[in-house]
Amino acid sequence: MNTQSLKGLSVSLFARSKPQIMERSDWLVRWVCVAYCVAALCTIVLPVGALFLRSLNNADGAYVGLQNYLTYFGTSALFDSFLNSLLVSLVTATIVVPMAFAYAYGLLRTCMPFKSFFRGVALIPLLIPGVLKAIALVYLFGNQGLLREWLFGHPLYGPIGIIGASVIWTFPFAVLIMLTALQHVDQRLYHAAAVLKTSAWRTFLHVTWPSCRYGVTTAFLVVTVSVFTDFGIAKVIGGDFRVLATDIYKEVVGQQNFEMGAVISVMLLIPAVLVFVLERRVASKQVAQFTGRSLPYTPKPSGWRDGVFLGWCIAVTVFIASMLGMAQFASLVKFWPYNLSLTFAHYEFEIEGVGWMNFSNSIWMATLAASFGTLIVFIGAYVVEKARRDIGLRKVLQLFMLLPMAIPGLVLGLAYLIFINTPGNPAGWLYGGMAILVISTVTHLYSVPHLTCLTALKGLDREIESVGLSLNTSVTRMLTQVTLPVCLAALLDVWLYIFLCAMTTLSAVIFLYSSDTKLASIAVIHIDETGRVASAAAMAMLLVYVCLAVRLAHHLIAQKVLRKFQPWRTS
Amino acid sequence: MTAKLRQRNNVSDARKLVVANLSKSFGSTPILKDVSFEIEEGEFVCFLGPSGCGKTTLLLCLAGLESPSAGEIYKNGQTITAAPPSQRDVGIVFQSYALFPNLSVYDNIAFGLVNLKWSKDKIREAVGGLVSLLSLEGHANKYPSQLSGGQQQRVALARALAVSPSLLLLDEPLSALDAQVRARLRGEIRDLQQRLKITTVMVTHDQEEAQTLADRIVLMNAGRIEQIGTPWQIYNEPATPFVADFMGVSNLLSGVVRAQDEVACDQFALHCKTQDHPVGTKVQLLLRPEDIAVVAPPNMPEQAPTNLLNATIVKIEHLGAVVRAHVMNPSGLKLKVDISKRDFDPVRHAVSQELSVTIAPTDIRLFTE
Repeated sequence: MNTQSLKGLSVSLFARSKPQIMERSDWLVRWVCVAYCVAALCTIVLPVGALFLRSLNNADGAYVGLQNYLTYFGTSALFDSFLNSLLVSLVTATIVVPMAFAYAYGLLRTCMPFKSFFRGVALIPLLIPGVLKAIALVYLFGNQGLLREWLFGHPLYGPIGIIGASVIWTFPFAVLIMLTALQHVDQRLYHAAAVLKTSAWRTFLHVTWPSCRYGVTTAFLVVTVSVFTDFGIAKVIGGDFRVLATDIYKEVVGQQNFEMGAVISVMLLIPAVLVFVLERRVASKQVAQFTGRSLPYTPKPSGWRDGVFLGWCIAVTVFIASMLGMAQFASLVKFWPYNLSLTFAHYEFEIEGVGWMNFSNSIWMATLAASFGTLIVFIGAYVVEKARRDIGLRKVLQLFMLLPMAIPGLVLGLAYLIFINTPGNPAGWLYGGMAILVISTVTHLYSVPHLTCLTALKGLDREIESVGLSLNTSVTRMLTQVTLPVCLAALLDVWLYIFLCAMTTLSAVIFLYSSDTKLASIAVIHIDETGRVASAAAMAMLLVYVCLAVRLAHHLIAQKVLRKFQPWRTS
Repeated sequence: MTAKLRQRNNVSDARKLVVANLSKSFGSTPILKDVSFEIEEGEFVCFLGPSGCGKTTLLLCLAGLESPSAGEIYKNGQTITAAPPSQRDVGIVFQSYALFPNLSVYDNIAFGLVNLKWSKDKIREAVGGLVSLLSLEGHANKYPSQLSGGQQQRVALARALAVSPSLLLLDEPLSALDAQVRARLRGEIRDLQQRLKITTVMVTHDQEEAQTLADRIVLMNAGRIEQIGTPWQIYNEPATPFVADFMGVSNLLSGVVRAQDEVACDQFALHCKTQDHPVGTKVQLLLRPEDIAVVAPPNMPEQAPTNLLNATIVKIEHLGAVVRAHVMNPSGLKLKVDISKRDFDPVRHAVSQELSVTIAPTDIRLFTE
């Protein structure tokens, strides 16, 4: 080795990298990042860790290793519910994805009329608690249902009911995903295919399908995992058909067997995490398909095609409307199906532990979750997007913020229950209060609002921050004068999303309420358990009306606010 | 090393920007490799080079938006390497304009002045001045989305100039604009810079833009500086074949020095100034198309000139002011030859016609291969 290369070696070994240039704002961002990491640790990692540990203990708190898991796999009834869960979720996804594809295709790729109306209709199931869909199905197809002959004598309670209600429940998710997927295509590809005299089938195979197959995969995964982990629908309409979610509920609430509840939770968590990883990989591949230079697709009229898709959309609309109508009607009927005279008696909720208080609890909880949630999510997304330094910290934070997507609500709820009741936990006083419901709801719902905020923030040129720095602008001025106004619309959307989900949420809070903080969505389940299905429908319909009202108010306020604060958008 | 630094510090009397041995790498990928140069006050300097050559990273280092891995930046004799952007007194304009979309043109331009806590009257006066300076009259109350690309870039310029920075940084400011607007704004930027005497650094990949705008060009390639010089020097005295090739269409031939002032290329010999290239060295020869003259029969000089080549036209390109003939001599050598519009004869200068070309020995540049 000659001296030259020795010198080079010593230079590269001892040359210390210069410290990065840190603005005051960079320090601020760094500390906020650290704070969020700590918060994520307390709200996600530690509770789920506590759940894991519990699954390795016996009822006396002694460590027993995998003993509980061996018991689980040894009990065929318990393992059967794993297969049952898998069955209903896969069948549901197989039904929903083509339905949603056709619906979204009609909205984007045909010239059928009333598109914006049908777009709204597809999202209505989002405003309906899952339980109510099940109840409506009971009235339509149950033992005394209006259309029970349609099932040819098959019982509604069990897989048919779960699948039916889950299809309606997951339809809006699938439609939203398909809409995004189908929007992202370059019309010029179709022009090129047409010029090359490509047949319709080949065009579909080589242009349409490649552009949306990631969307189809994502929709399939999202629907599967949603149904796999859902609790409410199976609880109401599952009958003797056992699924994982109802098993957890029975073990924890029925038998106080937290250890077995934890084991089943882990069985629920593992597939959910696998799907999450798979879904993220698919999502990362979707990115570069559509660029700013692509020409959006504009369909040409075609009589028969437009007619077929219009028919399909009308059919879906009629079904959703009849379901809502049925639920509303049932809640007003004195004694279905024998005495059809109308009454408000079912709205009096004369059942022990249930009343209008649950309803106000729900509104209060949803308002708190939406307001705090929006603030927390926005600041979190802001530091993740704008951190110029601390790339490693940013990546960790981004992972934490997407993680809630992988954790089923029921698992998160049980994890909180176990974690907060761990002796010596300084946050133990939260148990039974409203705060724990708000925290678990915001954590459970965190990922989607986070992604919405990120998208809104990415709408601003990255260089804007650089300009702000070179003009010696403070973080607060940059935030209040530029970033917040630009993201206002997204923030209103996030608020609405959290509010609506919090109104209908069940799984994340079912283990955490106390008699003082019982929510309407939980009350619906309890009323249903007493057999007064009409009252359950009544309570659930009230939730629907609140959601509808808030949705409308949001629309009006958003229009006004945006006109006032975002005049540049109207041009 | 310390002696070198002290020496650098001694130039404090000069109001200069000095970049000394600057390096920057992202992970293990080097972006800038030991870059050093100086910029005089009031000078217009262009960082020119192909994409990925590190020119934008260098600009961001000057702005304080990137931290260099090694090396120093001095301004007026004091190091500013670790200074954050807010303390560097720079104005910056990006290709994407990066205007605040929710603020009017007026508020965009006033943005930096509000940070300086100027009074409203002073701001109104200053913004008014800039609006007329950049011919944005009548647009002050509009939003960026209501303006054309060229107008948006003027607003970005005004916003950067409003705080009277001592250094103006332009990151490909014209690249997003269409050809006509680009040419006009190019002229305006130069006028403005001359009038305000503001030290300006512009990044561009367009050699024509750099030549028309810059006092000096820093030509970069793969993280290194290839050559620093005036546009005339860069074009006419390129230091490397890369510079020669990047600065315009050129004929690059390989050869071997055969004797003093004579280079053998394949089948024939070219006379040129070999200077200190010893006999036997492999060299590259640069022949600019505009330096090659056509000596077809009618205007054939009586005495055969040096470096006379017979060739056949294989392609004709009409470029407006000149016509470019692609010619090939019998041994397979291909050359691009520019014929001025006045000398162009559509009959004789047509494909498959034969002609003779010549080049003066002093017009050939040699590079060691």
